[in-house]
Amino acid sequence: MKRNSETILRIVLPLATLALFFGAWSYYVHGATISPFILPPPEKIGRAFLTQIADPGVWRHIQVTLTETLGGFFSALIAGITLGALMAKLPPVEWAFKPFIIALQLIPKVALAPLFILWFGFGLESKIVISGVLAFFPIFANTLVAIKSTDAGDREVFASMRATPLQSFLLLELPSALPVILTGAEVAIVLAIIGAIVGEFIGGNAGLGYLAVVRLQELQVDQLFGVILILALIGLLLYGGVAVLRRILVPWHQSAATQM
Amino acid sequence: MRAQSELQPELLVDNIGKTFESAAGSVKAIDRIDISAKAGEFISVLGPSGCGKTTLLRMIGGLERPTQGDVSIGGHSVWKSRGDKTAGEAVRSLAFAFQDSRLFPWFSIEDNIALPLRLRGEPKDKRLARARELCALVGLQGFEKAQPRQLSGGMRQRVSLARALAIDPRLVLLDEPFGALDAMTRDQMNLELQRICKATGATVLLITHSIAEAVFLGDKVVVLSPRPSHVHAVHEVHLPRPRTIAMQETPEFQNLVRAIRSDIAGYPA
Repeated sequence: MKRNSETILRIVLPLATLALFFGAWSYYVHGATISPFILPPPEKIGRAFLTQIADPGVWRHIQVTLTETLGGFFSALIAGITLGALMAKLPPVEWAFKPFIIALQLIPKVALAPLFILWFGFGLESKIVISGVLAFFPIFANTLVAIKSTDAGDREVFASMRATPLQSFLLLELPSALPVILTGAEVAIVLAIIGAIVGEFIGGNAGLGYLAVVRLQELQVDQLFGVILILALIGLLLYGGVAVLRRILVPWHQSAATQM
Repeated sequence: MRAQSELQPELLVDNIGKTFESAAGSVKAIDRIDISAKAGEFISVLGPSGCGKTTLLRMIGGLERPTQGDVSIGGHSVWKSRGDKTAGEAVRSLAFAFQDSRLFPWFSIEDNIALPLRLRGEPKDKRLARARELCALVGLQGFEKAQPRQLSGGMRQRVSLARALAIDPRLVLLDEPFGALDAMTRDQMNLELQRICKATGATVLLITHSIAEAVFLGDKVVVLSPRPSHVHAVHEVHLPRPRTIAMQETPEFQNLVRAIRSDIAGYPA
């Protein structure tokens, strides 16, 4: 009985919060002197969102942003895991490069975006690079730490079975590091989207970031909100994708069961 | 092959010792230990905490270099003939099982059991056939495709034992394999261990804290002294096999336990 009422409250309360939020918004916009150019009412944004997702032109922008984001993310995944694993296994490589990777990490990488536009042009390539550079670090850092912290007792078992270093890496270190690497990937996918959007803001002719700038210049604020909504949905979709990846790759790990 | 064992012990731990060097100075963990076992014999090693039992096992198993002495398994030296062709021979024929089952959650039960064979490059069908055979031997038929997290602690230790047996070792080294189990499961596992060891014919060296367990399982009980350890006493166990739980109530069993307990009580403080 008590359990039931809790279940109901857990569904009703967030909906009530949402209704209150939109109610207040709507009331404020309609009742006050605020211009709809600055803050359109929610229903108008809803309509703008629907007209935009019905527009094939917008879908082309979605496709561009997705391509850039995924291109950057997967490049970062390959580079981050490779470099992280290499440094975990070969200390001299770590000694040689890690200080500089840390130093690079301290630069606000978004500030490098104009440089990448200069070097790689206004097309997809520069955005993939920006997106990849942003997404690289969490994957790299998590891979390095996870592989280094492979359980000593587990290593002993592999040693007792006379495993070669390559066998230990492939059958022990990599699988046991995978949950932590995926946690890095969850952070990285969000950064990859940011990278693509920033790239489009400052030097693009396609993509949702570009579209947002255009809508602002046209003073179509409801449409701008629509673009933001589409971006939020893309973010949700991609993050969900990594969660699915987790369930496929590490179904044996706690984190796969507790997700969402 | 095991016929020549009358002349030559299957396992010979010869004058082995270990001193750890560190910045703070050197610590002598093991003074000198000699153990010999005939093929198929079950040796229990008992000792107080910190007497270097695990170090001893690692030296026998080729995982830690002794600072003196050597080990030979089936006539092949573990340490002396490093670089020699036969050196690998000694360690290839032995297997470990540890206190924690140490199963890998990303492998199914059968893949865990078959792992040592996979590391040796055995083809998949062959190693899985062996894994199924071993599942049956340790009483886990039907769990081949299960995941380690679905099994109880006792079942996981069975899997760990099966994994050790995968390579058909001539020597099995057990480091308190049931130390983490509850007393009832532990009795059951000791009965099982006896049966499994008999079925495989392997020579077994068991390290344990439990006097009753050492006597119940062993043909011989080696009692170690505190650090720096040496062999304090060796007791032959003449109880008939297969041993039963009820045998633990017999005067012979209890006398032996008492004798060993007084050995341990006789340690210099």
